[in-house]
Amino acid sequence: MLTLTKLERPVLILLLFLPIMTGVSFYLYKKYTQTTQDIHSITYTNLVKEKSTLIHNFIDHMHSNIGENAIQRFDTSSELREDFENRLRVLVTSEVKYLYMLHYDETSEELKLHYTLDTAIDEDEKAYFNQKFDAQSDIWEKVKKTKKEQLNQFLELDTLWISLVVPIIENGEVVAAIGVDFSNDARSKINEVVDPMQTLYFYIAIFMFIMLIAAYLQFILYYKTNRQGHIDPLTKIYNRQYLTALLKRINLSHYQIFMLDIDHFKKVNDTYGHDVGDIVLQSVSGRISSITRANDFFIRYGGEEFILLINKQHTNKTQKIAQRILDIIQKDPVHTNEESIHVTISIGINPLPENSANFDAALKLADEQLYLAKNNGRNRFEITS
Amino acid sequence: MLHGSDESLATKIYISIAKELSGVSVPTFYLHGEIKFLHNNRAIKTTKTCEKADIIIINKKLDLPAGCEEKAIFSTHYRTYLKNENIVGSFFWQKGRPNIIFRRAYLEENKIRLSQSFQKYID
Repeated sequence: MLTLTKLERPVLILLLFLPIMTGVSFYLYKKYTQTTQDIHSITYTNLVKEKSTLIHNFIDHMHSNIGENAIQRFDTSSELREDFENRLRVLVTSEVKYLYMLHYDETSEELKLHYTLDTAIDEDEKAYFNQKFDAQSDIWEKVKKTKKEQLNQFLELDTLWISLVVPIIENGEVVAAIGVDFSNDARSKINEVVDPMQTLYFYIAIFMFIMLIAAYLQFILYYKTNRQGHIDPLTKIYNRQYLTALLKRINLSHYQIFMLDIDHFKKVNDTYGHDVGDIVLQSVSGRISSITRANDFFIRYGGEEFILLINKQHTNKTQKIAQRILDIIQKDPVHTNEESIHVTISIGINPLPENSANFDAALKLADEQLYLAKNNGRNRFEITS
Repeated sequence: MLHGSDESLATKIYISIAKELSGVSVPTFYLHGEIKFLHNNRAIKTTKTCEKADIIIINKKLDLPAGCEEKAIFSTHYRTYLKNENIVGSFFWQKGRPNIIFRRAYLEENKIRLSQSFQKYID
């Protein structure tokens, strides 16, 4: 089993680095989006505050010039309306789309609003005096009830952003109100600046996510290919290529080398045929695999030869392990469709490979012990002294 | 000029008005004059003759072909509506908002009863 600890360092770094970078990218995108909203909010607050102050000043100025019943006076004098429309028009700035004054229809039980003043110049936009106004929201009603200014954000309309409605109070009652519609242009200008950056952050985050997915897919593919190339197709245990790769990344001094060979295997092949020989190989390797631990390595070295690298950090019971292997092999015969074959193995052990110059030299010592075990009668193990 | 979502909103309002005035579930429109977003609008059913129409939508021009007088005429232009008493109502954009108005006298004369949701638009 290929575990994380056995992964190569660059792969590990990639697997850790990419998720972190992807997370950071998404965090930055979210943070930038939040900042954009904050900018809108600050702009919105400042715009509204500034305009509210100016409109309150206008209302004070209107009352001080015309008196407390200014709205009634507008009803009868078109010159007065024109004069104050011009004065109100001074408050129209680039961020203001529409600025107008409406009066409440006191004769109606329902809320009805009519134009008093309208700063629009365009013929199609300018409303007639007393023209009905279709209120799109309840802010006009709220202004009437609360006698306080109200704000409304347009969600359905493209050209308008927010509306500010400031009450005109005469004799203690809200008789009219001034409406300011802020243009979406102000927001669009902010968006023009921030949108490219926001889009950039978004694409970086998406790019990192795609990279992450691609890296994981590559890793899975690499893992599968690597595993297939390192597994013996007959016995399903590691092969010699795996041993070569393994030796590059393990410290051999942490392992004991067991060299194993099936006794009289050639005779099995000659007597029963290669198919039965294959079954014997599968059975022997399966039994040995069943008693190895996760941190041991069991390898088919070639033909009927196997190498077992026993991790000695967790055990120093070399002889017990060797005997267990012998026992599990000879305990039961290998059953084929027609035969029951008694099989034994011989084992040569080099418990101290660190004393050799390299793996080949250490393996040679184990092989010599295997040769000795064979000469001493087979179905036994020998250990270097 | 209307933006995309405003056009969509306006189309829905026109369909509602036409249904209200004609009582037909899928009303047929006769469009007279330049009403850009309604022409080639797949959401509405149009005809090239007044006779087959359930509602007539005009812009500023009132030079309607003969046979159109009997149908309900709606204008997209408020001033046109004000000037012509045979126009039942107007749907127009002012201050970036959709405005609807129905002429009370016309409705009463032609015995057209609008549902509760349209009552507030009667002038």
